[in-house]
Amino acid sequence: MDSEILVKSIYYPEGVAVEKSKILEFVKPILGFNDLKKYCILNINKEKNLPFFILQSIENDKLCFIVADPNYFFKDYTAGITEEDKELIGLKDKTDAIIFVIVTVFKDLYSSTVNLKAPIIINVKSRKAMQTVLNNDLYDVKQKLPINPVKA
Amino acid sequence: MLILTRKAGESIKIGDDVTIEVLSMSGSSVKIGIDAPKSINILRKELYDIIKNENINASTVSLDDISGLNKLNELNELNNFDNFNKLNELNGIKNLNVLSSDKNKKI
Repeated sequence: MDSEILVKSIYYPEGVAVEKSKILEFVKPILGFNDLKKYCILNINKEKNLPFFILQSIENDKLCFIVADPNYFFKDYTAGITEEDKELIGLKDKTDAIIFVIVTVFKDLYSSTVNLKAPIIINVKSRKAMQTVLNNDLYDVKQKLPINPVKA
Repeated sequence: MLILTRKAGESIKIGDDVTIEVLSMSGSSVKIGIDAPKSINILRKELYDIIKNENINASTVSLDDISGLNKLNELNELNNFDNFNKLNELNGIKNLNVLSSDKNKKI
């Protein structure tokens, strides 16, 4: 169908159907990936209700990020969205915004970190998204994920 | 590298959309003003480099990473993600094409 495209990913190597209307356009790119503007959200595991998702590049099937809902791990986390950023993604109502943070996963999962300093902001209505850099010293680029190893 | 000398109050144009103005100088510091489109990231280089490098590190995702995150749940490392349904329904993640783990199946 014309309304869908096949998106391939390391997690879905044979591809999954994604509706074109659900593709995100990054109006401010993910730093270091300036040429890639189109992404979609894929689920890691729907059955388990995990707070992690895959942010998959549409233009490069080898590029994806693990992203997380920051408030699952950090209850008080707030990404103060500037007026300029709101305007850029066409955000009129705060409830239309979804905030994700990028996770850097290490072999030892308990060493994994999240970038709270530069969250991903998505306007679910306009499908416009961006990586913004928060202009404060409250949050770190490498904040350890608060997951504790299993006690033997 | 193009090298220009400017005094306080003088500017540099980069293309049609970017203007850089030297506002003032104090000792070894220079205060500059930048006028550019909102879609252009303007950051201190040291911060830009840190975030860019972290993004590059984060982009090297493997299947092991993903299955490891799944395993966290089996080990009861994570409380049930109460916000999942809220994100799916209220905040529109569902509309962002969150996919089931069945390959080639759209929800």
